[in-house]
Amino acid sequence: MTTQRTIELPQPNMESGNMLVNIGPQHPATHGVLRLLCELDGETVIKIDPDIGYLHSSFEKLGEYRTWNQIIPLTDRMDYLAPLMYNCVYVMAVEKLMGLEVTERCKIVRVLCMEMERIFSHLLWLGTTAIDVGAFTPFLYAFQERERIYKLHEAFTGARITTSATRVGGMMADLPEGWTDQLKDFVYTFPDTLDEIENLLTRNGIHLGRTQGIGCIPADEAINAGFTGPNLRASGVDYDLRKDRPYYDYESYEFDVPVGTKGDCYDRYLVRMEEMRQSLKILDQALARLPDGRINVDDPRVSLPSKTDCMNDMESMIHHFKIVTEGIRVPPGDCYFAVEGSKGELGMYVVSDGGEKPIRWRVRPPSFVNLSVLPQLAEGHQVSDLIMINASLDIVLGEIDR
Amino acid sequence: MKTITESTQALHEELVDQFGSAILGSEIQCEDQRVIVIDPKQSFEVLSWLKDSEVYQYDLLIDVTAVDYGAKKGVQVVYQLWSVNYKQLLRVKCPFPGPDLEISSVVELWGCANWLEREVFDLFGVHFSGHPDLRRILMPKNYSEGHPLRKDFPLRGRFSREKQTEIALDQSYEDYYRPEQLRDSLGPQKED
Amino acid sequence: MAKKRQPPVEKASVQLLVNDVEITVPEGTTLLEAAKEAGTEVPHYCYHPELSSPAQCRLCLVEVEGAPKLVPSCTTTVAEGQVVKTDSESATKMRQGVLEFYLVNHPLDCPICDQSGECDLQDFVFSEGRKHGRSKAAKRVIGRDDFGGDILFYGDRCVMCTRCVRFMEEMEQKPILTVVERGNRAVIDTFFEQGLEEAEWAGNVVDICPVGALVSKDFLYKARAWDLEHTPSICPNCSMGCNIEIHTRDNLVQRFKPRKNIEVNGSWICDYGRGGYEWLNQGGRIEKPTMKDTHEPGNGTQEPFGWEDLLRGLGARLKESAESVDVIASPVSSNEDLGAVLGLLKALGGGKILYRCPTSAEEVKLPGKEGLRRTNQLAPNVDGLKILGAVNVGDGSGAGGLEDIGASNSTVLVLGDRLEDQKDGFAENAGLLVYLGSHASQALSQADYILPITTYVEQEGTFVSSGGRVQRFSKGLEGPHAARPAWSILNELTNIISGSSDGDNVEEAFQKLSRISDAFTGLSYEDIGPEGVQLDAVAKKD
Repeated sequence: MTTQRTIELPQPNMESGNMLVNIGPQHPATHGVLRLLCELDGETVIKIDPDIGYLHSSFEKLGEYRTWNQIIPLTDRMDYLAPLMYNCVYVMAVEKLMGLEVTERCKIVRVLCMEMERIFSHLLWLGTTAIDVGAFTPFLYAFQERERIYKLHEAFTGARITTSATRVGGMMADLPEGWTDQLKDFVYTFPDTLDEIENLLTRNGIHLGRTQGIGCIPADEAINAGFTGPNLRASGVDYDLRKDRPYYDYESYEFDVPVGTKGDCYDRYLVRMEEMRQSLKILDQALARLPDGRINVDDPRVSLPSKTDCMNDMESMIHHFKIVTEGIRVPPGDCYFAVEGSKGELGMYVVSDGGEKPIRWRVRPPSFVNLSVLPQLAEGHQVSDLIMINASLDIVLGEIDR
Repeated sequence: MKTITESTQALHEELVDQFGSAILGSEIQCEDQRVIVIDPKQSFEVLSWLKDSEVYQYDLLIDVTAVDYGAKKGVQVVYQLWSVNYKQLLRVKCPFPGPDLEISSVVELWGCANWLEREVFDLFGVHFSGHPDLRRILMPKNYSEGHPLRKDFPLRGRFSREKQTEIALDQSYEDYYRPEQLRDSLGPQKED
Repeated sequence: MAKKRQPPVEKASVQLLVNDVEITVPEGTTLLEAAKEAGTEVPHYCYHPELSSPAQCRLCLVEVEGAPKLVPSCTTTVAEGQVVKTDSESATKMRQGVLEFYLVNHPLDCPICDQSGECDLQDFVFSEGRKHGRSKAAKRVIGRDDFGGDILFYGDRCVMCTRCVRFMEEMEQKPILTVVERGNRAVIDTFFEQGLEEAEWAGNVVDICPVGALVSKDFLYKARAWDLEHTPSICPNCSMGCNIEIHTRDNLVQRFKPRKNIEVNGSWICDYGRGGYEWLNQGGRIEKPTMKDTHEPGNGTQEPFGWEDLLRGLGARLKESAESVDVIASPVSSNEDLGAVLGLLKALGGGKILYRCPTSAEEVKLPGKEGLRRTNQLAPNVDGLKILGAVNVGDGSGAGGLEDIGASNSTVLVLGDRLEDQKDGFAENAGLLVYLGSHASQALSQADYILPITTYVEQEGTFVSSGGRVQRFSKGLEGPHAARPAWSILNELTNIISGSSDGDNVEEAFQKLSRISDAFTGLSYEDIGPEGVQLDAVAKKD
């Protein structure tokens, strides 16, 4: 069996003079409501204990009391920096459990949404990490670009952050006219801004000094610690769900997956910057192959019939009524489905017993596991490096605490 | 190329050879997801074998979670494993036969199980023996209403709104620090 | 011509295979009932287990190996070695086709139809029907017809299952409804001017109508079926003890529906009982326990107290003053309430329990079911009171009979009865007057202690029906915050007075009855189950 190990938690010590300091829960540098309880010896971090739960909203419990489609608004509140990603992965998990195949157009629209969200999330990471280091300008540039994506969100779904754009079997509505043109415009003009930001940071001596050699983690330790996504790839492990467990025809898109070598903050920075460029490539290809056709699956037991049908045809009326009042039925079983989220492997585990509500809805949040590695990375470094490492992990407290 | 049924069957048979009655069954969910059902009493040995085996090498622990099926079926702990080399996903379910929820911790095998198991303990009340730091993670330290994700836990908690507010507002240092941290932090106290 | 089903005469068993599940059923069972044993529900409209089966809706057709055509499972009986498939391709296709025909003339009334949410047509079409209809012709229109009484008929929605016609003919044996015209124009109607006003069980046709063709005027547009919470309970309007479901929403009772119990009421309840739910929604509740301020007699102010102090004070007063207590109970009090009263009387040194009960001169029988009737006693627990030794007083209308109560220095405890027939200042000469009531009472407004209790629908407990059956009811509404079940208050008082420590739960309150009365010996609360238990059967068991 296992041997009993204990973990020593931070504690102050009058003789050695170690201090116990709270960073957070309200602190601009923690990227959310996160409390880091640190034992410091001067500026050096001896031990850290991250304390989470300040944003806990019992989403998983709420999910057990809602029908399958009613859970979708809960999903965008979790990772509010990439809401469409969460919307997509949730309905993809439910559709897999139902054995439902969505239309071609829907698949490509969802790919567009997911890649757009990847850029969206990485831009925020870029801006806030830069500003933690002290570079103010990239923050403004990044957020200016994010505004353009906010506008795309709003045009498509009506909301900037709380998009709730997907439904089981399709999307809430089809793309509005001119949306793809605006997205194309973004895809073609964004690389210029990205180049400008790279100019400011990638070979900047201060930035290099703050990030190189900080928070290193070798590949095997990274796998053991549960890292996924850009954090894992920066350590040299080539694990990307789009290549290793492909979904929605990702194997037919041409793109590369950047992999680092040393696993320090600088490599994580480089990996994410390159990922944004690769996402642009995917967006370009997807926009080129976007077909016309239905966006929702043609099954009135899953997707709502059109209003005209509903008012003229008895069967459609009945199906509409039952879907709205009772909800769709998902056959019994359980399904774990994951996509390559912007922060790592974003997985949903749904368990159904044949009814309209899930028995269990588990969100596997990448930031939760990524944050758990923080003590391992930051102990022994200075406090300012701790801030840098925390920023380089790219966490969002909404999905950690759920 | 083996089909999913064949490969699941092969894995099942190999596990039964190694561990006999600890393997309770195998399933295929959603046509391409392999699931092995094992006895929670021997979960550490089985998972350890799955991690170290040359043929399978499940070196990345994606998720540890639990499902409460209600009064009839009870609680199950579910592990999602991934092999980076072989690119294979495996689900391992450990159903608890009765109300006693005790299982070995796998922190020794995969470090990320630390926080994942803490969350299962916090929300379901499953005790992980051998876990170095088993305490609540999402709920507050002094949370006394039970384990929220259990099916018999009502949606709004067990205490009334007034009592919950009272507890929330009545926080003290002991809720955020351990006793030894407080004692040393506050410095030498005057003896009264 | 509808065939009357004969109940199985012998108990010979037949083994057959239904959907690859092997089952053994008594000879004479229909395939539909046999499929239920195998865990399959076969969709059907015209079949009802308590009515005859005309096999005319054609929805329950199943495939039997060896038979040339699909057979109606509601009339075909089992045979040894049959292989039955209810979900084979031909059976599902047939059902899809039949449902399509039903929908050809069906109006798009779902948003305004009362049956939405509990409609068989919706459920079957959603799970097995076509995705879109094919008929583009105009639908035949019949319109709305008032059948009299509480029943409205929406002819467009009717699927001609004729359950309503057969119910009135076979069960109530007043053949008021019939099918007129034929073919596409067939419709249910009443004979000329005679409607359902005189029928006393007509409300049941609303329950058995599978679609929203027959609806209750009382429930029309009141609430949506999925908003309602269902609570299994017992009808409180007479002593028959029909099993019902109380449907509530927003903490108000919306309607009563019958709950199936073959031994008591089958699937039926009478209109008198069905319509008697408004009194459960009455306001004027007692919100807090109060005690008359005895320091200033005549002041009459009632100070609200916490339960603990108040009951301790009351317990002390009862102990010192009472030798014999007069209890006026209500026939809606549960057995647990009465058991608690008897326990209190025992601790104090005795007393008597009186009750008044409204009665009716006639019984209202349902001829088609032996023994089912609206009894003379218009309250649910008259038999419980009798068994536990209470005395019936009064003039038979729920009034009078209390002339001897309230002598000076006596102790009077009023449980539940609001004394609406009594003058103000009832028993003002009594030494101690305690009112455990749910609603404020004018006559008892000057009582020494006024303690809020829950009505029967806000607590769980048991009643004894006129057939000697003890049946459980469950909690369906939330009473005022401070209100407690009467047994909880009285048992706590008994604990204070006699030093016992009985628990505050309904199982233990029921156990008290087992100790007090022979009729309940050997029975525990858990034993009773959702369908009740005959008391003589329990006594015979020992």
